[in-house]
Amino acid sequence: MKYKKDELINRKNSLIFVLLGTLFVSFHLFYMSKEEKFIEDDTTNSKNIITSTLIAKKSKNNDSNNREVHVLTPEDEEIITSYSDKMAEMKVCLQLDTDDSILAKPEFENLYQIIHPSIGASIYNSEEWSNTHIKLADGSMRRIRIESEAKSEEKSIQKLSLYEVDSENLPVKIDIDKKFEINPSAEAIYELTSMGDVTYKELAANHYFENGEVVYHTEVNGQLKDLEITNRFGQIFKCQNLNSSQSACRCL
Amino acid sequence: MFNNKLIGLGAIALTLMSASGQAAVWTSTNTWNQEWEDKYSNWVETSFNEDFFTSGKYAGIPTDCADAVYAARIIYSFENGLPFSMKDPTGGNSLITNNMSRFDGTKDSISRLKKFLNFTSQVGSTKSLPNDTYPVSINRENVRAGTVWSRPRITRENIFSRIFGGTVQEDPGHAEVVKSVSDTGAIYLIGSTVPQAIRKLQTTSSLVFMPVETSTGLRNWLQPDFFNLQNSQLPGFSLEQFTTIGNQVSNNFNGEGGGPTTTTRNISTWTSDVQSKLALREENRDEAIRRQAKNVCTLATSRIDAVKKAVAYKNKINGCMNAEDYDSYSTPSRDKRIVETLDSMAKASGKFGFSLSQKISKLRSYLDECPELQISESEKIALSAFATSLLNGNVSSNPNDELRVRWGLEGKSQNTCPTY
Repeated sequence: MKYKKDELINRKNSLIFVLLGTLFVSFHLFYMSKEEKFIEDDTTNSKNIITSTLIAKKSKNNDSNNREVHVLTPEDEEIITSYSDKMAEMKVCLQLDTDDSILAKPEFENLYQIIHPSIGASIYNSEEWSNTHIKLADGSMRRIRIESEAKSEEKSIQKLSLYEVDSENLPVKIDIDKKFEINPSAEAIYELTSMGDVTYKELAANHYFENGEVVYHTEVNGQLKDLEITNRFGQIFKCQNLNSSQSACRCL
Repeated sequence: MFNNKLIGLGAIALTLMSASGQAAVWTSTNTWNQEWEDKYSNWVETSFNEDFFTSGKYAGIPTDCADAVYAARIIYSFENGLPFSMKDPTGGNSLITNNMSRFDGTKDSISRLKKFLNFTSQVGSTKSLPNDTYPVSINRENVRAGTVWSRPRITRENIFSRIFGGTVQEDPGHAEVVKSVSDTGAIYLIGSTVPQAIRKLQTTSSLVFMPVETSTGLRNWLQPDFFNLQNSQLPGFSLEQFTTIGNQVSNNFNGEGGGPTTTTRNISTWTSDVQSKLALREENRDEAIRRQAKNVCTLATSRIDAVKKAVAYKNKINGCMNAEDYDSYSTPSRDKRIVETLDSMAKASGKFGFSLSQKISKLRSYLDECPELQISESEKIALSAFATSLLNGNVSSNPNDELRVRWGLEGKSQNTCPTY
């Protein structure tokens, strides 16, 4: 009997907790919707419009929470519209079973949200290469390139190369300690990138999905640039310059 | 008199200025066009040979696979006053060209060239080749000596990955140059390997992979003026090797007189399609077998040096190799490629057999056209004998094993060293 009473009390407490949590989330969402105005697209009849992060029009200068609000330029809006159109083409090309659409800047995270319900989860991701440009306190530039390199026919390594830049804007290799050069740890990479301000970052990455799809993409400063998705049937959707309003895609 | 002195000083100044005004690795005096591309192709076929970096003017230049590909283009450009450009792989927006002035302090032109080659080797790789080349349609006009064959990565997919979400192993890619295209449409490739070293190049005719991503496959160089062009403006640009070539249509028979068809691409069909598109006449069975036998000969011959180095190192350390050395000196990928080539040879022959070993045993005479393998100073073995040992599982890839075990001459491994 005592046990049953305790159980009832626990259930009651749990219910109260869940109700409070729901109220909190609802209040938070309502508050946020008052602050942000999303770009409207009359042609969209989507179940879900993926808007990614930080998409907003700044309506007031004084944000009482001092949150960072990104202002969209006309060029940004063109890029977002162009990207949205290209994602719609992608769904048709690759026969993706989704009604979701994207209304956001071209970023891998929102692309993944669109594709993974149809093609499953990614099982392996690798960064093929990356370039990070750093400006030192004295104004000089450094470039860090990391890419996989074959050490032998059997083994590959991650190789980091550090460069300074000459008067012709060309890289000049700088000798560095082996701990940075071969299979550098995250800490070692951080140590190098912290020597100045990052002014530019680009990378190329591959993602392998459980049903056989492969996604290759490049990014510049966090935005998708080139994209190539090959589905399990050999269909290819290929895009260039997604980070501009002049992006072009093909279904092969 | 004062005027004469001024004139003299002026002359000296002019002389000094012209001497220090090199400002380029080499000066471009010609421009790439179709005629020069034809000459480049001919040069690759006749002059870019296996000993290119081990004897002659360019002996001593170390290469890995991508280095050799870039070097062929750069050296030809240098020798003919043609411009060379590549995108800066470190993300800079300037092209790397022969006009760079960094090596101006080096007076000798060949030394200056070698420094430039060293620089492009530092920054370039199979990852940068897709930026400097473009895929072409498969015909004899676009695929010929000088065309690049490359992929930026090699993906080995664990067979369980689709079922259990296992792993995909990704290794750096490979690159070679088309050495020639036979009249039967067979593509001969010449290239180096990893790690970077001074070595003879190797020629084979096996393509090994089917291009899937558009950054791979058979590609021609972007001439310096091409970097700002649209794809449609590039001569011979095509994505057909990733789409229509290699398609195999199969009927999904549903027992009622028909059914939907499925189209899949596979390497066997792809290789066959490419050969057909390039062929002026059909390759007969004998030619096909002989060609694959030659590939086996090349691969097995190059194995000799790899095994010798492993044995020498093992004797030097007089103990077991650590993981790093094990990877450097073992040969599983190389041995697997030999097996795959033997398989291609068997398929070409159409010989019946319950096992690959049995099929290959009927093709001994082709394999023994290869000179015997001089595996040590005192011992040679026939290629057919090696092939049989390999297919029967008696050849060892383990770098801790003795030489005769490595070649399948002394049964199973007896070493107790760890394997990695």
